[in-house]
Amino acid sequence: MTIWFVILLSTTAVVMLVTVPAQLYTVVCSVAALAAWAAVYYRGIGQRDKRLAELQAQLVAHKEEPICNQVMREAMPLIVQTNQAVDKDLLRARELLSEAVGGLQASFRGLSAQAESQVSLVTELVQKSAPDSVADGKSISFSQFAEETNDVLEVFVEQIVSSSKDSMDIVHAVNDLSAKMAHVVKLIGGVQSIADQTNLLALNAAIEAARAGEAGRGFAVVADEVRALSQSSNRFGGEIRQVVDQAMRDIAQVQQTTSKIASKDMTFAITSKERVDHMLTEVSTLNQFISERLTRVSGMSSEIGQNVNDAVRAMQFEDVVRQLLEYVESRVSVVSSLLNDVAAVSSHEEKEQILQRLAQEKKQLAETRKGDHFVKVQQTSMDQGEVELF
Amino acid sequence: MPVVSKLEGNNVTVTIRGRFDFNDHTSFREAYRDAPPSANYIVDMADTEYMDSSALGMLLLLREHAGGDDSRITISSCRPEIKKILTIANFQKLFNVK
Repeated sequence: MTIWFVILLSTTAVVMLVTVPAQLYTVVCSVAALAAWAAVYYRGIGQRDKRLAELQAQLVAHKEEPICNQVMREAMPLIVQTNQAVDKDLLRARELLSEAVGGLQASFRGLSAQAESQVSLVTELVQKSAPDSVADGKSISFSQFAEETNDVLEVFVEQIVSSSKDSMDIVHAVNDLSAKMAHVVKLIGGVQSIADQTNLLALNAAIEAARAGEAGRGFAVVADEVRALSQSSNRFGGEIRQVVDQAMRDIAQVQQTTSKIASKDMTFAITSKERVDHMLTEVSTLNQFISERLTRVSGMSSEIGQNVNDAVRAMQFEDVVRQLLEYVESRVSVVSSLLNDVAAVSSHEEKEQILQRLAQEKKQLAETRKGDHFVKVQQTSMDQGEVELF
Repeated sequence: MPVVSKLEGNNVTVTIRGRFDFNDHTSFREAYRDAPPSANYIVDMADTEYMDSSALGMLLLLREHAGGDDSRITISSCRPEIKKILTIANFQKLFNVK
């Protein structure tokens, strides 16, 4: 604007120089010169102010920059050192994680194996404790033992009753025998009575023979013989009586012995029977209890196995964490390298390079955050069966 | 008298009091010996306090007298202890135990 104004003024001056009278020439020239000077002067002032502001800004910038650089220089080694330490710690964390997870997995697998073997043991126990599982004939269950004891007891009682019955039969027979013996004794008494009478008769006959004198001599001999026979009969009867008496005593002995055989107290049988019955009930209850509990234990063992498997599967979070740590490590190394480069900047060219690189890294970071890798890591779930291995 | 028998028509009732053991063998046998085998036998054990195996044997002999499997013998009014003994000996299969 100022330039145009000056040109206009100059042009006007020239035109006036040509057209106006000479007197005016000097005046007009003076005015034109003055205008031109004014225009130049004002323009110079504006430029100076602008420059001054720039210089002031530059001054402020130049004043601060060295302080920043100084702080940066002081801070840089510390930052680099810290970065290195972080890097080291990250590596250590990764190692520790890997080690711990490895140990945990091994431990859980061991637990799983033990749970499995526990299940098989418990199953075996359950099968063995079942009442109808004795196939080899060697082992015997409690309930079988009790049942067999019961059978034995029944057989035993049966034997006792049977032998008592037979004994009583014998006792009855012996009683009858005894009665018959008594009858025999009675009969012997009759025989002896006859013998006594025969004896008397023979005695009378002898008397009568003696009275008859010589004629009765023969008869006397017969009478003596008859008397001797009667006495023999009597003596014989006595001997039989003695034998029968002995037999009666023997029979009494037999009766006594038989009574011992026959008379058995049955209380023992009742007691034993009650015990066996009790045992059977107990065994049955116990079997049921054991079976039920073992089944539950078996179920629990299976659940443990399942839980352990789940835990082992959940251990795969290590992959996710490891990848995250690796990612963090890579970022830290980028930061380290950037810091090193920044610290080493000494020229404007290098400064431009660094600034370019910073912009690049910024862009890359933004892309990485949006990109597959980060999303994948974030989305990975620890739920069972959902672990994505990559 | 520990063992008493009573004959009424075709029914022979044998009552046993106190202990029923070997000592009663004669009287118990006498109680049914002369009765016909086909009679209805009732062994009243309401007052029987004890019995041993010889008593069981005697009951079995009564059963034989009464025709074995064809016999009709009722053992009545047993006390619990007596009933236990009869049960253990499986007498409920051979007699009508009440």
